[in-house]
Amino acid sequence: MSPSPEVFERDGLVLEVHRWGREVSVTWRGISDARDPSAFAGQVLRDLGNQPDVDSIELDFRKLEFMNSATLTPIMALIRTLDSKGVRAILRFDAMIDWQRINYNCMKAIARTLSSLRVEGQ
Amino acid sequence: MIRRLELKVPLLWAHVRDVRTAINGALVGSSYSLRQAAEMTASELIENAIKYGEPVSGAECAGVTLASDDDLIVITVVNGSTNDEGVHDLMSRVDQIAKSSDRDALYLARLQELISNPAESGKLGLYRIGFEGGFDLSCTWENQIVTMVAKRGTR
Repeated sequence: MSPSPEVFERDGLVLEVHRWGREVSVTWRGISDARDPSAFAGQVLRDLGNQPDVDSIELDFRKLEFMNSATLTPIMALIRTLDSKGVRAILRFDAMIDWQRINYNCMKAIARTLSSLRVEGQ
Repeated sequence: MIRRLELKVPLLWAHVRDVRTAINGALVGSSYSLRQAAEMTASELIENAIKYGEPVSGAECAGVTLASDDDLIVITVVNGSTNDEGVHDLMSRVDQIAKSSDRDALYLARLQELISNPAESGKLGLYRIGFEGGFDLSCTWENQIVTMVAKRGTR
């Protein structure tokens, strides 16, 4: 059983960070449409990416209702950081939702070039 | 069914959500897929208008228009700009998407750039509109007013 998640929330976006030993999972909820996602979501992701003793970080988008394209910049930055450290990144999408399925397919294509990246579609 | 919506949008970020809500509401009765695509497209375009727009004579704030019938949906976003270089960069991206026979590849290439180059950020929105939203984009700049038009079939 995991301890209670750390919850980060701003402007309708909720990030729940769950930890199981050396594995971290971030559940995204609500709406991510900040003008500068690097300031909030990006900071949470940077802090996670800089933590030592982590084997994998999962980003679970299945409960996310909307994401603007700017949100992808800090996500791509985290993937780059984790890849450079040999830490596994797992992205989880709901493939029944149009925008999530499209991002699922794109990230699957990118995963072919990044051995540390795994992409799951429900 | 013919639908039409016209909004004047102050150049403030808080209004991005209002635009999404209005577009979604105007398309009640349309398919969920079309509403999602239209909402995303209007959102990305008004984000750009608010980020890069400025008040000019004839366009003190941004404007969003939705026009739709059974066959076609057109979303138009206007904003003022005196930034010659910025507008030409915008027009060149729109032109690149319009001429591309593989919009998926453009979007993927931009994602790859974001991963491989830490100095890169953003500039995904137009590619997303073309690829994910399935809209054709065009752009004009006259009298310091940028007009972005996104158009696609409703089916």
